[in-house]
Amino acid sequence: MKSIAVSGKGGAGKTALTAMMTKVIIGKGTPGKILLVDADPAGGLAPALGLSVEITIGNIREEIIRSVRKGGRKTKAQIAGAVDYKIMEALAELESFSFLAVGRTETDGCFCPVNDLLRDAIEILLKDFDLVIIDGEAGLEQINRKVMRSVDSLIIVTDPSHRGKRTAAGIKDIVETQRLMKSDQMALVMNRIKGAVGLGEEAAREVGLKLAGCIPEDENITRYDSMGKPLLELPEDSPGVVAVQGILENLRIN
Amino acid sequence: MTELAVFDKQIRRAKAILEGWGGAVEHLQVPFTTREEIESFKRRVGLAQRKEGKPTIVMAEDTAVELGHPRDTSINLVLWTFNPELIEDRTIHLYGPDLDKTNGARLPYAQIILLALKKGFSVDPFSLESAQFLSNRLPGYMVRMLPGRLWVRVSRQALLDGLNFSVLGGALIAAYYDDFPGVEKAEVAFVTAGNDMVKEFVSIAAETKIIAGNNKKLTLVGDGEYECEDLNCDDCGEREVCDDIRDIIILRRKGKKE
Ligand SMILES: Nc1ncnc2c1ncn2[C@@H]1O[C@H](COP(=O)(O)OP(=O)(O)OP(=O)(O)O)[C@@H](O)[C@H]1O
Ligand SMILES: [Mg+2]
Repeated sequence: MKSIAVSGKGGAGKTALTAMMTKVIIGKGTPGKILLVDADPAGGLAPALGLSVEITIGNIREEIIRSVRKGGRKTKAQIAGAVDYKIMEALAELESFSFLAVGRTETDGCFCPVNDLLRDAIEILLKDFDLVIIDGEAGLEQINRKVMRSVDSLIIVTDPSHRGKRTAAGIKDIVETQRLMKSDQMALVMNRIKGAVGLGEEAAREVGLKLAGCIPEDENITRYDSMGKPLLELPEDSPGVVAVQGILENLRIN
Repeated sequence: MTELAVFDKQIRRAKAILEGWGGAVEHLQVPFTTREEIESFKRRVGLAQRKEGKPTIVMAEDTAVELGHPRDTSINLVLWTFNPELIEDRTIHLYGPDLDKTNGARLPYAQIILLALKKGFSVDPFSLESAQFLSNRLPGYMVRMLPGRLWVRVSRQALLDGLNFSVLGGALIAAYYDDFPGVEKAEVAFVTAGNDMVKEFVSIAAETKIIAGNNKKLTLVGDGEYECEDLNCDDCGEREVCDDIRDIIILRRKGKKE
């Protein structure tokens, strides 16, 4: 199983990149099973893929905590058996890919062991896929706690803004010093450039990451977004999609 | 250990339901008769020993038959007795289409296992119940369970390899013989005929839960011990809930190997 996680500042284009990577990979007819994980609690990936989510890992987590609170030893044994059922139920299986949403957590408190319990079950599920793509958040916490602790490729997306680059540098730092996420390769994607291609190289140097590629400002993305149309349906020759194809080649993912 | 509660009354009722359907219920061939045949049967169908199976996932695209999907009715029952006369050993009943005649369908599902135990045999009822899931023990057979519910996916490959209710029933019977020396007789019934037929067993299942509830004695073992690296839980008001969840992790990891 190969895995890619996408991280970066809020609004940098993580979800757009994830959706476009999916489009390119599916379009190539790459054999194998693809799992997309929306690790952003706000859940932006589903609409970008044209899906609506019924059950999230967050829902399952709530259910577990609720049933455990009710107590009783018998319940424990039953919950232990039920975790896999629920995860399987939460998995949306489509023709060309499957989808799992981490979702929101409503219960206060950390309940770290619940995450362990869920991750145990998710790990078994992940093994059955050939490629897992995770649309994450800047903190990497959701991915780490709820999905997996190491990925093959970690893609950090930024836009040309100063804050975007600072966040990118911060993520790189977290990975290197706190080992919150292990990855074989880490690379920067510069999104939403208008003309000046040099920006990407410059930002990569600044942040200290290898540049995977740049994605231009793409009017189709804006249009699809305003119409609520899934980005998965972008035209194949849309500048963003073409750029993402190059990025996947650079990273030797496809 | 306290003496096991038995389900004689529920077994009689389950059988009365099956008999009530008369000729609609098929009696399938059990794929073995002697002890030696059981061994070669297990090898032929790839039935793994308890705790030795590999976690199995059957994805929708590889699924040939889906039994008891969350949106359909499903029920599972394991009922035991010390009265051997109540059980017809090595018998498999089927009401509804067999796996190879479903054509990619999603079917409601009842799986009922009836056991005669040797007098005085004592066992953790939880393990008697969990053996029915054959978790990870049959290739191309994925099972997911909630209390009282059972969701099964059979892969296309498994079907090509000959998996049907005769084989599944045989595997269940063989598994019970193997896992529990106190199992003297084992009988299995499958219902795929319709939601209403499956639902006929609901009240039996409800009673069973109440009876078994007083009886469950689970022992926790030390494997799968959990350490929380992230936080100091000492001052946490929810500590008890987390401790319980740690127990569940242990139970689940233990269950995975069973
Ligand atoms: N290359 C691009 N061209 C035009 N619009 C873009 C481009 N990339 C992203 N956008 C737009 O920018 C907005 C933010 O993008 P996106 O949702 O992908 O970011 P995100 O990093 O996933 O955000 P969040 O942190 O909120 O999940 C969206 O409205 C999206 O349509
Ligand atoms: Mg997003």
